Amino acid sequence: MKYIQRWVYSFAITCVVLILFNLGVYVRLGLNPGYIRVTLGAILISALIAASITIFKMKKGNDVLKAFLGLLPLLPINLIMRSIYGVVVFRAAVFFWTLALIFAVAYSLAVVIISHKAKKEEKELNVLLKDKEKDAQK
Amino acid sequence: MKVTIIETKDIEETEVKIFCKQKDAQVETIVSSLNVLNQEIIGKKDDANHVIPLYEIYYFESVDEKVFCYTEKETFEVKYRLYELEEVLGQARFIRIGISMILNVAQVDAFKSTLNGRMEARLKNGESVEISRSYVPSLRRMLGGK
Repeated sequence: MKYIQRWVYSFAITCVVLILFNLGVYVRLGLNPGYIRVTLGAILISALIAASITIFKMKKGNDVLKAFLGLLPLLPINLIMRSIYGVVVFRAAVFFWTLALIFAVAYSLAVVIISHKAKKEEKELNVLLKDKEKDAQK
Repeated sequence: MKVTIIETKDIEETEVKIFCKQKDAQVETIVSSLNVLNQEIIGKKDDANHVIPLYEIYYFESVDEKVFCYTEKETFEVKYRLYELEEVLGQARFIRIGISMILNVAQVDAFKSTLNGRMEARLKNGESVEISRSYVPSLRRMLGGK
């Protein structure tokens, strides 16, 4: 159920991103990749993003390993993008690898922000707990 | 308000005496807080009923429509629903931390976060329970935070 919920959210965001990307491709290169192709791509990409989030958020297992495994489902997104837009957009290998780098950096950034926020929250809760204990002992 | 704790080995049961000019709202609050702490709950284990003081309870958990309370080493089944316990025990430092769990904050040793943003409460008996993210703000408020 959680996976479906995540998939729906990712699908909504992926659709918006792909519409904007489509617009850019159409304006710059005059290329129209086709409605069905883009929709299927969006379904697959959002399924992979939801899988990535699900692995990352898993309850059991080593945290670092989960963070690493969570990145793996994101890697094929590049290939899906290439099959949607073809070699016209992806003719330079540098574009392919730049996109992969963007995914990796975005994922790492998300991990860092989430863990930093949780650490801050943990610190705050522990301080409040200690204060409460001190008050109780007075 | 002045609080004095006198430790003596001669007494059998802990006793609280309140010295005040008159019984005002502050005194009423102290008395009601003490009464809540003094409460007990009936738990069932091996077809026998046990009286469990609230302060001994670490957390309540709902599993398959049954509610269990966990003390340091034992588990008892209680007849109340989780929402009923939540209403009654709100004053006694018990707080909902998940859809199926109520935690006694007094038994928390420390809070620990994980890399993927999950929050855990490490209890004084060494056990860990997960705190759902949506309940963290209410936990913070209960501990006196914003």
